[in-house]
Amino acid sequence: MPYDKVIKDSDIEYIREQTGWAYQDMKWLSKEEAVKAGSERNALLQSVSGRVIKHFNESKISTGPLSPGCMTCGKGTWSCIFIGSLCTANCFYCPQDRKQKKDEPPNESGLIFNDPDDYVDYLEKFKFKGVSFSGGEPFLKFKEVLAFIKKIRKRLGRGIYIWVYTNGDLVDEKKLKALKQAGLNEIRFDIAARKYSLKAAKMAAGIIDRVTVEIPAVPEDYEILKKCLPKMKAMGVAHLNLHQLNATEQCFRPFIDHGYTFLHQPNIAVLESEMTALRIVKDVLDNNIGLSVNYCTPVYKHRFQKKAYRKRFQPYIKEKYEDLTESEFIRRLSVQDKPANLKEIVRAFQKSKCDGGLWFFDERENKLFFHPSLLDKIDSGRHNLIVNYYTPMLTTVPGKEDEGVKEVVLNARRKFMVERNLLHELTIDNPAAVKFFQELFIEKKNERDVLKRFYSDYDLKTKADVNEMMNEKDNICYLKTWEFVGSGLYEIY
Amino acid sequence: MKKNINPDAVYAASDSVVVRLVENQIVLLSIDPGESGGDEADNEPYFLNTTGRIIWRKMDGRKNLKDVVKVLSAEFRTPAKVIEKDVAAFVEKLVERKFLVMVSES
Repeated sequence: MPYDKVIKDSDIEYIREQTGWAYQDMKWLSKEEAVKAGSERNALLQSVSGRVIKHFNESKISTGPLSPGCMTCGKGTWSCIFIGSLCTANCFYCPQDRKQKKDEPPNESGLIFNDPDDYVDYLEKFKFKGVSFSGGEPFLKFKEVLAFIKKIRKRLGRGIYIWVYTNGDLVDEKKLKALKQAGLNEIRFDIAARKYSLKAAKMAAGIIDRVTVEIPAVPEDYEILKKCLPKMKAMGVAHLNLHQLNATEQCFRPFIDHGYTFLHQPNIAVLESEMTALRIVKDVLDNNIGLSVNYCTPVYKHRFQKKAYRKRFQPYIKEKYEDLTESEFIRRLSVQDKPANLKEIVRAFQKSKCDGGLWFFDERENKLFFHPSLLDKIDSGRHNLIVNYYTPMLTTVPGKEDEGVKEVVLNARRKFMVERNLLHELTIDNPAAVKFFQELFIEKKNERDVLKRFYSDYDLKTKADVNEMMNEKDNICYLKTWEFVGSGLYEIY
Repeated sequence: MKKNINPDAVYAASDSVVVRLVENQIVLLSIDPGESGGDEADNEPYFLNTTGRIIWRKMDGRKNLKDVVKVLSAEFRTPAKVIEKDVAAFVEKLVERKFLVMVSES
């Protein structure tokens, strides 16, 4: 089975699990429909080619510069604090549970920050350059937002970019001036929450330095949004950030009722929403509106926001004998054998005066872990190579140190834990396949050359060996999921 | 000859194919990923049948298809018309799978 098919099957399986009962009711594309939709999207992309800026491995496009806040997101230095969970609106596309009537405390990445000082310690510790306030509706907790902004500015100065999201319901001049006074750089309005009213955005444009409209691309609202574009430009809106609708558990039913087509992507995106966003991008360019539209895709978020999270927390759990992939997953290599055989390898490491931190012999498990730089010293004819991928995960529940849980001290009052989650394990038992893995992911050689060598060197005696070789190739290529960030928009299927 | 196959052209193995001999059969392996939305079988190993193996061995990057047909016709004492049909079908299939490429038109 070709490896792209393996990846697709894996995505489909994952989404089936995520969507559960709803999967049967959701509209998915047939193979033919997917090809047609892909062609339509390509035609739209072609029509704006050369007129848009591609960002972050071509995972998103824009018609002009991105907001400084969006740049911090792309560079992995953005923190978004959810100041509360209650809202004044009830949007059908809201990813959160709107039936929840109990407010949640301010939180980021699962950590609660009731004290602004703790949050600033967190920002400082992880060298964030951009902070946004989201919710719920942040203006429902206006005093808290103001207190946090003041504390951030007082302790971190002007070197941090701050913005707030709102649906505009509770916005007034007094509050906007107070936010400006406290040091807010940007305000972002979800005008889709209130029938595309630009009243609050207009009010903010004269007060806050940068005003952005940030909305999901709602397919049935295309015409009304199109009409808003020149108005936005005229009133001083600097950016229009368009998101592709993606379905969380809360949205399955409303999206089904809207007749949307779902895509087998990690964030379960809506096909019609992407087409709408691209049409808006095209409209802005064709009509010389001069508005900077940023089409922020789920695949961008999947690649870059998650990579940033891993980059931030992996240093606490990564061992010296482990390595990082391009997408900041922790890669661990090991061999398993009788202790006597593993000790033989250890002796070879010692004889070559290898840094002792680059390998670890676990006698209980009969496993030898080693840094990829030592892979050449392992005889792949005698030992299978075991490859593991891990991601860091924040937790506030104390765990055992020997289970890979590490404590992070924020300040005298606060600490939290980082644990490692195993994502994937592969045992590679053929020497040519080990070489293929090494050249493709460790040495990062050209894939065609590496594959050519693999096909040429693999010991083929029977037809069954050919199938075995293809399976090994697919299994190794599947590791790209954790090895590479990926580029371009997600394939439609 | 089939319309899209030029009998005066010279064809040879593309640089994206690896050729292996397994159990006395030639298997062609593509190192190019299949195009998205394309046939999933495009990346599968391609085993040549007996006829295919005979034709493949004559595709040396020097002889054009007419000459290949001529050689095979003489070797197997079979009318050129019959051989031509098989050669055209074979070349068409392998060009489609990108195992063969045209190296010169005449």
